[in-house]
Amino acid sequence: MKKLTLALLGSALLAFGSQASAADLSAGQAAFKKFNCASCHGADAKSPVMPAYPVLAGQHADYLEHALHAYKRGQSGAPDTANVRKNAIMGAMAMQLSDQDIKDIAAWLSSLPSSLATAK
Amino acid sequence: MKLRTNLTRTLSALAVMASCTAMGSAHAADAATAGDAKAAVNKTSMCIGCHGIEGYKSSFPEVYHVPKIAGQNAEYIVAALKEYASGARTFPTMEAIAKSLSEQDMANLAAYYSSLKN
Repeated sequence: MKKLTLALLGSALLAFGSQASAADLSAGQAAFKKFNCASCHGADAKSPVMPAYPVLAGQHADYLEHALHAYKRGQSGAPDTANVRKNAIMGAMAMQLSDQDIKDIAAWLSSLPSSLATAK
Repeated sequence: MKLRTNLTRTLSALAVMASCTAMGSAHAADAATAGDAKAAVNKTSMCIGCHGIEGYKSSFPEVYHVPKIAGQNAEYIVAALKEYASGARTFPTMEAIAKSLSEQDMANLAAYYSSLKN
């Protein structure tokens, strides 16, 4: 029993250790939860509540970052020439995110498996 | 009495849920133009120059990979194209392309790309 406990403790520590080394990804996962992204995009980020919402899992991280920044620009009234997205929901969501949040969330989403691929 | 109140509450909650579900599906049926993936084949020449090249990047105002669109939700592809056409999203290339597409073209392209799953 004692051995089992030790083994469990050991594997728990190992799991924690590997999570901590991938700092961006775990911070991104935490931010995805904190900002309730799953309530629209689904917990796996590929089963959105509405089909008009995108699959985010497996998307390019830098594109996801770009999109979130574009929502921010749109919400803060940047001119149309600045490459903006005007969307009441995503604009309000993106405004709450720091640049670091955006980086972390995008990196985590990009690491998830999905059906997305570069088009042929 | 307490049981009855609970029952009434449960029933009314169920009724609200049922009506939401009914409204949701009616709305989806209204909004969607049925897409024909085969009909999109003559239009994808506009897309593949960026979205068909592995690692292709766009450059304004950040440098970033153009999005993966194969396997994306069809309804989302249509929604995004409509936002580019209306100016809700601004990006010169996608605006020009989206404005050149009819609603049927958008539905066809969306059906085509959503069918190309990884």
